[in-house]
This record gives sequence, C-alpha cells and structure tokens, in this order.
Amino acid sequence: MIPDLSQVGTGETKEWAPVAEAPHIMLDHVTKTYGSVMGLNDVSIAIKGGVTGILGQNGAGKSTLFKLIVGRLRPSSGNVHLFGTNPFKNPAPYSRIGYVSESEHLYDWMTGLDFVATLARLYGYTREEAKERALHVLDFVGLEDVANKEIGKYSKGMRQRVKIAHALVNEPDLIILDEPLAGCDPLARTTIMNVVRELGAMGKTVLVSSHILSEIERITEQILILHNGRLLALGNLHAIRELLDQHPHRILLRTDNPRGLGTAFLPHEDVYGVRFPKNDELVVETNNLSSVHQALPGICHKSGIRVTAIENPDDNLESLLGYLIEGRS
Amino acid sequence: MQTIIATENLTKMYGPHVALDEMSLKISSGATALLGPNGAGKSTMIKTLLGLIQLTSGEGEVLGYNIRTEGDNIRQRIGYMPEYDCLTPEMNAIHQVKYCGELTGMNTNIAMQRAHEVLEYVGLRDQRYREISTFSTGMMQATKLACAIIHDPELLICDEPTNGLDTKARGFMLDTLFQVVKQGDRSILMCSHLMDDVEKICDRIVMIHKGKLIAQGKIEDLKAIDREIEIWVWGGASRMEDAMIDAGLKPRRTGRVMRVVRQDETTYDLVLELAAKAKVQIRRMEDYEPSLEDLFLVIMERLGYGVKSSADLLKSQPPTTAIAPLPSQPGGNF
Amino acid sequence: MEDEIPSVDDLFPDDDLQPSEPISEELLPIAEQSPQTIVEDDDIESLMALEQASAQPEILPTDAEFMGEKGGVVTGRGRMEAAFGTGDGDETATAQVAQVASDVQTGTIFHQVYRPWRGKLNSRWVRNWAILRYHIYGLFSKGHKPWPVMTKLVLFGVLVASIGDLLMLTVGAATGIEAIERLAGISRGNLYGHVLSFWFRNACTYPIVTALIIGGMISEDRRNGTSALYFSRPINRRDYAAMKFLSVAIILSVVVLFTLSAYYLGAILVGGEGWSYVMDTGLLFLGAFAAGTLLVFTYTSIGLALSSVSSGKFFPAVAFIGLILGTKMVAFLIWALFDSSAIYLISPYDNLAHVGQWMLGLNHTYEHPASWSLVMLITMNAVSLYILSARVSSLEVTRE
Repeated sequence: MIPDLSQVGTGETKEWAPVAEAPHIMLDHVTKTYGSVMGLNDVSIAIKGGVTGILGQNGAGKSTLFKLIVGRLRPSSGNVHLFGTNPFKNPAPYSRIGYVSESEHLYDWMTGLDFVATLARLYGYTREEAKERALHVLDFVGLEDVANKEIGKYSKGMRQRVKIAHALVNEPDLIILDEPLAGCDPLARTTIMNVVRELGAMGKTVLVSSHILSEIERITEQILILHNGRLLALGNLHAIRELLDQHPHRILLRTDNPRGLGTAFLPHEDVYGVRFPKNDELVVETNNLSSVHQALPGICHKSGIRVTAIENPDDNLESLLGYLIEGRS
Repeated sequence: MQTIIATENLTKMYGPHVALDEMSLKISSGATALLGPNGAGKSTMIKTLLGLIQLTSGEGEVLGYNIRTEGDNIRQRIGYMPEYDCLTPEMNAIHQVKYCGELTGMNTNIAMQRAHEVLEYVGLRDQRYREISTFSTGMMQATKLACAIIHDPELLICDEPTNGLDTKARGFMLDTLFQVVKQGDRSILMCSHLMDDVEKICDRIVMIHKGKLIAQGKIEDLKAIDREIEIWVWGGASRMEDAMIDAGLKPRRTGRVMRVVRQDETTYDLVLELAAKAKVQIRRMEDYEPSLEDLFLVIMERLGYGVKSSADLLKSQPPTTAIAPLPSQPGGNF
Repeated sequence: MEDEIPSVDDLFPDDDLQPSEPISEELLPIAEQSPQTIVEDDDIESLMALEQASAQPEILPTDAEFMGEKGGVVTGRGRMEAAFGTGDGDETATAQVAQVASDVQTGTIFHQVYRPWRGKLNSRWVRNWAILRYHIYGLFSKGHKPWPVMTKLVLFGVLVASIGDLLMLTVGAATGIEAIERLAGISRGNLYGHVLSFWFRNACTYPIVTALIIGGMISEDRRNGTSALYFSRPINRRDYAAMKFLSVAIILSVVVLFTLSAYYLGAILVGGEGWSYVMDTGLLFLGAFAAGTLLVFTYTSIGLALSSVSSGKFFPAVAFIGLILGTKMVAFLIWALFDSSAIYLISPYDNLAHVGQWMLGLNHTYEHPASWSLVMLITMNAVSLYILSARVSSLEVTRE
C-alpha cells in the first residue's frame, strides 16, 4: 500500500527515527543530476510493501532511482531514506535488500546451490545455515531439481531464477528486480510471476522494472511511471486512470442492439454520451466510471438486451502510458 | 503455400545425449514460430536447418536443397538473425551490412547499394553512418535484421528478435517483420518466448521439447481449450461468487477475476442478472480467448511440467533463525 | 435528485420499445429460431453468423499435429491469475498524477517499402576474396576491418624501419663513402640481418608488429559474436581460417619480404651493381627470401593459434611476444648455465635463425645440426595449425 504523502515532511530536515510504520522507501523531493544531464527531477515517493511496477522508457531515470535507493548514488538535492535511514555509504540496510540486476554474468562453474550458499555466507550465516537457506530459497523459485547442476548448463529461465534466489536468501524486505523476465520461456515466466506476487503478498516491497507492459499488468496493479526524470504517476493503475479527467472514460459494450441499449443508458445522470462506432458496439461516455458500472448490470438486465462483452478500452497500461507520456487524446 | 522445410526422422546425438529425436517437420511458407522451453533443442534445430550439422540419421530438405549435402546453397538463400550480439562495434552500420552482403557473395557495389536500401527499410536511414558501438539495443537489432535480409533471402530465421527492446522499438520490429512477410512475400521462422509477439506475426507454430516434435500446425486449429466467460468484479466479488454458485454456474476465481464455462448465449444474461442482484460492478466481461501462452502452458502441463502455484510456494516455510543485527543499524528490524 | 435510475418507460412513454419483461421473453424464442431465419436470408454475413451461432463448432480435420496425432487439438483449461493489488475489488488505493509531460512527440510518417533483390550471388572464391579484402584494405581504407590506430602506426613505423638498409645503401651510393657502402651493401650477412639477425630492429620489431596484427584476428570474432555472421552464410570454416591466415601472411610479407626485395633491387639499381649481379648473388637472395617466407609462415601460424585460443583483446598479442622473446631468453639462460645449444630448439626465433643461416651459407652460430631446427619448425607449425583448426571449429553460430 502506498501511504498518503501529505504526512511526509515538506522539505524540512527532520531526524528520521526508525518507526515501525515508516515506509520502506522514501524519496523526498529528490533531484539527481550528472553534470548537466538530468537523472531525476524533483521526485517524491513513498512505498511500503507490495509489488510496484516501475515503468519508463530507457533513460527515463529507472536505474538512477534504483541506485539512489540502494545508496550507490547520493541525491543532488532532497533526501533518500531506506528503512528510515540514509542509504548512501551506509551498509546497515544492505542485509535487508535483494537486488537482481539485468547483467548476465554469473559464476558459471558453480552449481546453483554453491552459488546461492556462498553468497549467503557473505551475509554472515554459518555454513550449515547458508546451505539450508539456499536450499529453501531454491525450492521457492522452483529450482530444487537442478540445484546441483552447474550454472553454465542452466537455461535462460533458470539463470533468471537463480539470480532471484540469490537475492532472496537473506530474506530481504526490499527486492529490486530489473527486467527479471528477459529471455524466459512461458513456464519460467509464469513461475517467476507467481514468485513475485507471493513476495508482495508476504508484505515485502518488490520493485519490478520491465518494458513489456503486458507482463507488468499480470504481476501488479501498483505502478510508478517515470518519464524524462520526472515522476508522472504513482499508485493503482485504475485509480490513476480515473484521475485523468481530461480523457473521458469509455465503456465499450458489445451487443446486437446497441441503439436500444444506448437509450437505456442515457437517462443515467453520469452518462453524458453514447456512441455507436460499429453496428454491434455501444460506447458509453462518462466522467464517473464507478457509478455507471454500479448501475450497468441493472440497466442491461432491465432492458433485456443481450450484452456479450463489457470493456474499458483505455483502462490498461498501454493507453495510460500513451495519455501520460505522449499527450495523445 | 508451398513447403519450404521438410524433414524426416532427423536425429542428432552428441554422444549419449540426444539433441534431436526423430524430428519429422513440415513447415510451409509464411510466418511460422518455433517454440519450446529453454533447452528444448531449438539451437540445434536451427543449426541443422542451416546445414551446419552432421546428422546422425534422417533426411531433410530446406527450400528444396538437401540439408546434408547442399548446405552452401541453403545458406545462400536463408537469412539468419542471431539472438546474441554479432556485430563489430567499431564499424559503421553501413559498412557492416555491406560486408555481410559481400560474404554472401554479392558484388561490392551492389552490396553497398543494397545496404543503403535495407538500412532505410529497417528505419536506420539517418544513423547508418554511425558506429555500431553508439547504437542502442533497438538499433542493433535493426542492424542485425538488415544484415540478414540484405541478400533478400526466401527464408528468414529470427532468434528472439525483440530481445531487450522497449515498447516502441518492439512494436516497430514486429511491424517490420510482418511487412517482410506480407509485402515481401517471404517466409519467416521465428523463435521467441514472447507469445504475444508470436501471435502478432505467425499463424502457425512448431513446438519442440527435448528434441522431440510436440505440436505443429495453425494456432487456431490446435486450440480447443474450454471456452469460458471471464468477468472482473469490483466491490463484492465473494457475493457474486456465491450468487453464481447458487445459480448453478461453477465459477473459478482468483481474487476479483472469475471465469465460468460458457454454456450458451444465455450465460451472459444470467451473469448480468446475478450481478445486478448482488449489486456489484462488472468492469469487464468477455469471452476468454485462450492465448498462445495458455496453449503453451497447457501443453507443458500435459507433458508433466506444471507451474508452481502460490499454494505450492507457500508449503516450504522459511527457517526462523534470526539475523544478528549489524552494529550500525539503528533500531533493529522493523 | 432521484437516487434511482428512472426506468425507460418513465422517460420515453411514447417509444416503441416494449417494457423490459416482454422483451426478455421474446429474446429466447428469437435465439432459438435464429438459425432458420438466417438461412432464409441468403446473406454471406448471416451464413457466417450461423457458423458462429452454432453451439459447438466442429473441429474440421486440418494439417495440425499434436503429440504425433494428425488433427490433434490441445484441450485443457486456460490459466487464471490475478495481478497484485487487485484484491477483492477495492478501489480505494490512492494515486497521484504528478503532471502530464509537456513535450509532445511529433509523429513521423515513415514509409516502409520492401524492395526485393534477385541478383546473382558469386561463387566461393569471390566470397573468400571479400574476406581477404576486408582485412587488408582495412589498414588504409575506411569501410573495412577497423584496425586500431596504434596497430596502423606501428606497422607503418616498422615498414619504414625495414627499408632502413635500403636507405643506408642509397646514402652510401649517393655520398660515395666506402665505409657506408660496405656496411650496407648486399652480403650474406646483410641479407640475413634484414630477415633474421638478432639486430635490434628485427628481433623485436617483427614480433611486435605480428603481435599487433594477430591480436584480434580470431579472438574478436569470438568475443563480438561475428562468427555467427560468417558461418550462417555460405563460408566454409576452412576457407575462413585460410583467408585469415593469408591476410596476416600478406601483411607480414610486405613488411619482411617486400622490403627485402626492395633492398636487393635497390642494391642493383642504386648501388651501381648492374643486372649481372643477379647471376652472382641471386641464390643468396632466394635463400634469404625462403628464410623470410619461413619466418612469415611460422609467426603467422603461431600468432593465429594464440588468437584463436583466447577471446580477449590483449592476451594473444602479449602471449605472442612472450613466446618469441621469452623462449629465446629462457634458452639463453639455460645455455649460459649448461652450455648446450640444443636448448635453443624451444625458441622459434632461434630455429628460424639457424635454418636461415644454413640457407644463406653463413657460419652457424649453433652447435646442433640445422636439420633439427628445421624439424622443430615444422612441428611448431603443425601444432599451431592444429590448434587453429580445432578452435575455429568451435566458433559458434548460435548459443543455447
């Protein structure tokens, strides 16, 4: 869930005492410039728990955001807080982060189990503990059958999963996944999506970045959109769509008798127009989606006209990005 | 629609490991997808189709040429777009593409002229004199495509053509490939893991697993998955579910998404009636069209490779050993 | 403001539309009658609608095949999954829309027209010539292999240095100073020196320039993945290796053999010897030429073998220099301790020098027979060529 930002400080520097309700990630009017190039421009975000999809074109500021969160970069202005503390050059929160990067390099000569167990030891576990945790986490991602095979022999999907496993071995509260589904076959993809959803349901904060919108839509409804270093939108995708008032909402119904059904909708106070783009389609235009949808089943049933499909044609990520980024109407 | 690839009991063994197991394929002209989970033998299949592999047994023909003996002829008429990087970063795009044409046997001048044409076709007209090291992933993929089509091959084999591309570049690449098939009247054999991409371009698939042929044919012809109506319910999904059960429908539910088997035309009316009675919003209702990804997953399930559901994942409980807090960490764990 | 949705009857009492209940009753009979009514209409559209309206469309036999059965279909149930955050239909999550991006991207209209090409594709040796041209022309012309600037500079420098003896000769002939003429004129020693002596410029510069040339020859193809471009085309692996070998050999020949010939011709033309000189010294020249060829061949094969082994940029170059100079150094040290010249057999340079001395009729500076050196040279070349062919056959076209 994303807490209400109005509770966050408005630029005053406060001492951030770690409080149980503090968000996992907090960016307070953060700007990051690289010389004259803008990385992030006045971005304020607070996230605690759940799966958030990070969207944006290449160069929009996603990797800058990740690096600021894990403390590899310091903001040019503003504050970054990770679990309530400043992460820059501060190794304290590292034990609670798992980061799965886009890079392909793994230790090909090690077995999956060795790899995860060795990296676990870096967190300070004993040898036995590390091995036990490694086994558990490999099981979690579905690699228990091939744990003793060399990583060099893994398929792409297995490599992605072993990367995720190694990031999970210390039970982090924050997991960042940069393009985790690249190159995976549908089986591996679906498994990884299940893993990610499960992590979110457990209360961890998961940030997933991907270019493939249909995959993000399957994983989560909470999204964060960056464009040219600015934060365009943050929150539930449907809620964001509802907030975009300048693009009226449309409900598309497929029916044999669109004109008759349209007449049934017109009396509703929130419907301001109906259109008939094709002779089996009715489009109802409204500014209050919820109220019309609430009344919709009743209207359809009362009118006795058969409706075979109901859809909000622009309530998806692709249209949303289109409205926000390209100014299309 | 002629057959461009036909193989008969192709077998390739690397020692005891069977890479291809009695493959008998028939691929017609047009756009076909080569699918299969990782490690299924797709690379070996592609190398075999290029005529690069010495087969253990079996015969095959690509574009009418024998795989075993006429490999050179095959490779003159095929364009291959590899999945991984294969370009020299210090060269200009136009020179790299021209060199590829020369390697296939074109004359230098003709190769140069054709390189200009082909780079314009893939959308790199303004960038063709730039060094490849300055290219983004999208531009590199486009250059690879240009290298593959410079000699206008009858069959284009693409390995993950949209690998690493952002949304816009992906759309453009898919459009370009689609135009190659439609306008250019060429055939494409596409390997991809993104079923959406495959569905946009290809109407036939060939699916292999562990070296064996699992399925081939038109996507539409293969699908006979249950026709269901899918509804998204906001504001009281449990009430809706109960109402549907009471009415005799057997819904499947995950959160706010529900599916019922479509018995006949009246199922729609029934669903809306129940929704009106239960006072819930139906944000979406549609015939759930099983996608190619569903087909793929159902096939893999039939073969015994299920996907782990959330319930399975939860079975193994995490060990409860606590992490010792590091000294500089204020306040301990949340 | 009424809370209830007014019913259709209240708003449009004069409408032809019947109140709801009668309509729903009429709907069912129409649905049942629809197949018959549509058939009577004789409309293409309605025929298609008829197909869709039938409850269970028959699966007609097709050329689809599943699990080995012709006409097989895949039955089962599609996966169900819900995105995180959907919950039970709660829409109370907050959202903020910061701002709409103000820079609207202008669209470009871009016409994609596929132009077919049905030209003639040339035969094998034209393709091989393209490979050769790519590597050699790249040294002085843009649009071919991108040699690093350093390599081109060093090559040029060594080329100039190799003509050093020709220049000395010209200076001597021009100034008429006896001492220079004797020093720089054609003699066994000077011919040998041009190709092989342990004079600084040859012992160090030839290996260095070879190292720079072979450095990326094959290792770059492995690293950049361009081997896929070669072998997915009708290029034979043997031709590939042969053309690479030939291109390195040609470059080195220009540095070693071309300058040798220029030196010899220079002596005849400039040194005032006249063409009858050829009768006297022609065999010497040929001997030096043969020794030079052996040098070029050996350096090329060892160098390419090293380049094919690694995939890094520096390893082959460094390894080559290390091999040539290092073995010479080690042999020297061991010889100094044990006083047996046979140890020089491990050093390719010394083997070449020994065979060169034998071919030119100079005094041997080694005690062991020249035939041993020759045999060692042949072995080294054979081993290098074997490694080269093994590694070239492992260059990949696809990677699983």
